[in-house]
Amino acid sequence: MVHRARSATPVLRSIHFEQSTYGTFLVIPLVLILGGLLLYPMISAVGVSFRSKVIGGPGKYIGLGNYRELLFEDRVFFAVFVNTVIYAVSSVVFKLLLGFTAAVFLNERIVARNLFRGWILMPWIIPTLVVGLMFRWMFDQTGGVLNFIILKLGLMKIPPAWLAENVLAKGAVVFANVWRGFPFFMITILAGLQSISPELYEAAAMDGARGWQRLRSITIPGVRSVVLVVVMLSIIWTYNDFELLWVMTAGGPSYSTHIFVTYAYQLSFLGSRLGYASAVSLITTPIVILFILLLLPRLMREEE
Amino acid sequence: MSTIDRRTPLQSVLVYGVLLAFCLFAAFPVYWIVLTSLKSARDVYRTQEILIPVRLNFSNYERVFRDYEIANWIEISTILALASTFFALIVGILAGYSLTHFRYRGRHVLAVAVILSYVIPKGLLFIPLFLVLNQLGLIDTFLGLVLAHETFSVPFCTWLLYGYFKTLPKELVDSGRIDGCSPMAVLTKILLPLAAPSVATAAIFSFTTSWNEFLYAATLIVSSKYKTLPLGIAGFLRADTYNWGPMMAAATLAIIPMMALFVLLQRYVVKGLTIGAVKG
Repeated sequence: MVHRARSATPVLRSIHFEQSTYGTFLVIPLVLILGGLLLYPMISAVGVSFRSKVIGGPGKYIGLGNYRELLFEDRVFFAVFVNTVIYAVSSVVFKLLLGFTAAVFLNERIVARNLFRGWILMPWIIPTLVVGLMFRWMFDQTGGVLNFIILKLGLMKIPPAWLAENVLAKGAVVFANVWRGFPFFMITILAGLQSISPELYEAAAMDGARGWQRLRSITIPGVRSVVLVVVMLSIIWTYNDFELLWVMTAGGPSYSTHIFVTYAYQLSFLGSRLGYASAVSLITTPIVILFILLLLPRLMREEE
Repeated sequence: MSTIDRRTPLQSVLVYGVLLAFCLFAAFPVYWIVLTSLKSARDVYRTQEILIPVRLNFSNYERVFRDYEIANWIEISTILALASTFFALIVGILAGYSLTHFRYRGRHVLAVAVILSYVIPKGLLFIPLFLVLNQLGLIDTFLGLVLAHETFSVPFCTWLLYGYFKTLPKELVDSGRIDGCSPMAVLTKILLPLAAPSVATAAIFSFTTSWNEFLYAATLIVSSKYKTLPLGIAGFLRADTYNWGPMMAAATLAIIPMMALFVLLQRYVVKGLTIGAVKG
């Protein structure tokens, strides 16, 4: 990366100096966007979270008032916290299981691998909002296809109202998230599998290792780092999910599918409490920062 | 896996069986969207035609174009996705080139900042972004939407092109410089032609993410003038009785361009998907 040879002669050094100014110039648009649309907004949100701001007015400075209300008075916030953990953890676990299984089978010697791979990627291609609406329709109590199948197969006399009962609704949104998200796990784990050298498997086969042993001693260690990165990215993105939940249940019934983002959205854009909603979002930043710190070395590994 | 490891016929059946099961799992809901969109209002609640659509009916499509402003939503979404992709590519190409081929103070910090910005979830950013765009008077404007979309497109495009430019040998640039090319000519004449596949990947990612985006549209757009397609489709929920037929027709129209892009350019899409987790 470093052009050491270049600084050897005075002539080239002057080119180099010119280039550095030029390079700084080229990066200005990036700096403006990162600074103006990411860094500055995040900082100004911290300021707003110390105010009783509502949409249309500045509100007054109340120090940690919002955070105090959030942690000690808001019963809903505690439920939202628990929901978020359940939603993120169970979604990621199932996405990993399904994604890993699909990747292992796709990595077999098969015909039309690209067709299978592309086909199974379908859930990832369609807009998340559409996925949410689609599942709302499929889980519909009277017209939904799921209850139709249940009735046809005679599994239940009166099929449930999936999205109107606390536990079932939680399960339904996790199901939708898993359906939508497992292809991302599949595709990245498959790329990891394909980077494992075939000689390892040949050597293992010579040593008489059976399928399960090969899975445990070659496949899983081989994709470990890819899996870690995908899991961490997915946790960050899943617990900050919005679209799927909002159109499927809008947080209901009785807050059972509200997570941080849907709750913050409801408070700010339906309830106009911007200051309080900022506090709801910001109180989760330490979790994001934690995961980012764990991720960074892996994402930057090939630096320099 | 290897020639040593031949499958028995039973194992082959298992492998293809599992893969077909995954295909069915992935496709059924999509099939259900399209099928619903092709049912008449009376047939929508009749689920009998699960597997074989008996009466195909295009009235939902007529309805969405007649009773809703869907043509407008599609237009807004298309222009928005094109505009934000265009700007993100310019910013990303320039920044990727700068960060890899020039030396100056702070470039490592910037590279880290790009990754951080890529990871920052929308759910964390939407209120701060609303606050700032509100200060700037950009709520309910097209420019506001484009700027909001740059928050995900620019970090991704920059990161992807940064990763690619880093792999190009320095000699390429040096020889161009010695031949008297300006730094800009080195970029456009030497580096960019090589980076075309990466630029395509970045463009597809940016375009599809913009096309699918809902949260920023829901928070930044108030009037119907700049309604995007996802925002318009979500509006079907507001009626007392959900219009599943027209809603699924609109949903199908949102899916078709994404499917077409994917079928034509699967290679690039897959590359974009794996770049984050596998590359680095």
